[in-house]
Amino acid sequence: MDRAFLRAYGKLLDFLDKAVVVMGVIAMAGMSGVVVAAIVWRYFFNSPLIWTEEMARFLLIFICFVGAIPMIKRGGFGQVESLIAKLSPRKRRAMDVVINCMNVIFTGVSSGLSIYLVFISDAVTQQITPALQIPMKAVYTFMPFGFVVMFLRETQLLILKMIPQAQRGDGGGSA
Amino acid sequence: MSLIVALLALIVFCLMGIPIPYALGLTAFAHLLAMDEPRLFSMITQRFFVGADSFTLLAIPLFVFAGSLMSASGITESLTRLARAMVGHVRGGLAYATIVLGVMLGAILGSANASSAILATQMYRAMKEEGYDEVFTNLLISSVAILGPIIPPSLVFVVYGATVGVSIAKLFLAGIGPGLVLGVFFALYVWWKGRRLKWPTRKRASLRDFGEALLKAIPAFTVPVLILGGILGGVMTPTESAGGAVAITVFLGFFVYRRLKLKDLVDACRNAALVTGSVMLLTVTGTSLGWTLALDQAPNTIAGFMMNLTENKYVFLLAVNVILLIIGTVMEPVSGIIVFVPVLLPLVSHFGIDPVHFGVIASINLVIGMLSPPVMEVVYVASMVTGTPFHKLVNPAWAWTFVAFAALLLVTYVPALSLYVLRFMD
Repeated sequence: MDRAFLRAYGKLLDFLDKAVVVMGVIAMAGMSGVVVAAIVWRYFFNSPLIWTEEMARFLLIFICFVGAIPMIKRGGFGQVESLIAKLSPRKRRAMDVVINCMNVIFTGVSSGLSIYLVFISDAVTQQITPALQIPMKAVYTFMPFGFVVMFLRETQLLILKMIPQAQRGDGGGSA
Repeated sequence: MSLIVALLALIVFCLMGIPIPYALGLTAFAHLLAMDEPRLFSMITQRFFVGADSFTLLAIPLFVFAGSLMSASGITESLTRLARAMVGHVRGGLAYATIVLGVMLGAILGSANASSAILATQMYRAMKEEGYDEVFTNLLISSVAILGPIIPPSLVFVVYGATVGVSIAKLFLAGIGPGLVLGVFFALYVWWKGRRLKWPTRKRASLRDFGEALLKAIPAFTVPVLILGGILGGVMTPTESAGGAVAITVFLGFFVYRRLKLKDLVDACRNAALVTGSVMLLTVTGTSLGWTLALDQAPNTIAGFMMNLTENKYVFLLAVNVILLIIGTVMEPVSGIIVFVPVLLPLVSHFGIDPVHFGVIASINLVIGMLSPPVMEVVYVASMVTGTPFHKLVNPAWAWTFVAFAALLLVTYVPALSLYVLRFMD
């Protein structure tokens, strides 16, 4: 595979990771603010806000699917390592490729299915959310976005593991 | 047959080292294939979305956020000073102070790993300087850290409550007694060790020092008071109390302790968002697997199988303790709750076990697993902070696991330790 392409691909994913972290920080701050505002308005101003719960839930959905993206590169998902740690370095490398293949399959299938669910099937209707009055489809879109970027990252990691260091130059990005 | 395929797929995927959220999702897909229902694949992604759309689970990022802010805001430092002033003067005083600090941290944090990192930062150097063995210190810190998810607030209880549909407020209240029992068992072990090892004693803190430490720590205690008081008083939901904990921690950090900076706030936001992304992906994939298991009548099948083995409630509880403890050694508590608790629930109601009590038992089991070889996640975190070689800690960790398991048996067979306090709530 072309070195320049791999490098650009890695850089694009790193940029997406950084952008996602910034969005995550904003979403997290917004979610905390919204929950606190709900309490303050209800008890101090005696005037409950009707949109806060919905907004907080949607921000959580955003963080769930989009916040998971940078954790792939950081190795932040829990995994049982006790058995594979006992393998010889050669077998460990082979097992890492198998694991990465499975990761690509999961994120790829989930990407395809969530795109189908949100954009092709009729399952997600033109429903408008009750409080914020935004299309439900917009909220659902966080899911395919998250899975597609996760799929791209897992694919990059698989390519890096399959191509020897010497052939890929600088590592095709910083993963 | 399809159930066996699902179980085998889950075991193989996990043992292969596939990240657990992916392993759960892949198992859900494999399970549908084994049931010859691939047309339901798109329902899995639908369940992902439904799993994430929960106001209750909002408590997770908010408690993580509050916990991340504790150190930067000066709260943990004030609690450390108080713990040392309280018990630092007796033989093994710093070890007891670590336990007291662990209990206090448990009341403001919901995570064992966060407690482990804070305890290691605050106590390790001082204990090492006073001649405590590094292996003992690391394992004490790690053991005490598991009180974090047992003494409320607790992320594990939030996930259990959301999964099972049990009141999180009741779970929080029911966790106090067992958390203290574990603390007492660890203190008894420290006392027994101290008699043999002749640890040094320190000068008792003067009344003035103690008063100053107490005065400094009082604002920090508003956090657990707000969390528990808000929930039990019916003023706030657990999610709102988590939001309140964030607000009060920020207030204390900026205006009382004056240690918090804007950068700390951004760092804590980043940490909370990333941790939440990881935990929530696990939750939603676990939700989809739970859905395929329910579709295949797994809870009823497994309940029938277990009932053929025993009709005795106490034997069942012992079996559950052993099984969940083993699961906990390789799988972190939130995953364990999501995957295994729904399957065991029909048995819990069959044997007339209170689901709140069962939640406490299951959570403690899985949390003790974080301390036990081979994975020892919480010990690993402590060793990373202290710089102690991890391999030195593996065998000695069994003794601490045994102490924790003894406390767990007491909690299991004396339900009043968890449930008595609920009378005041009703």
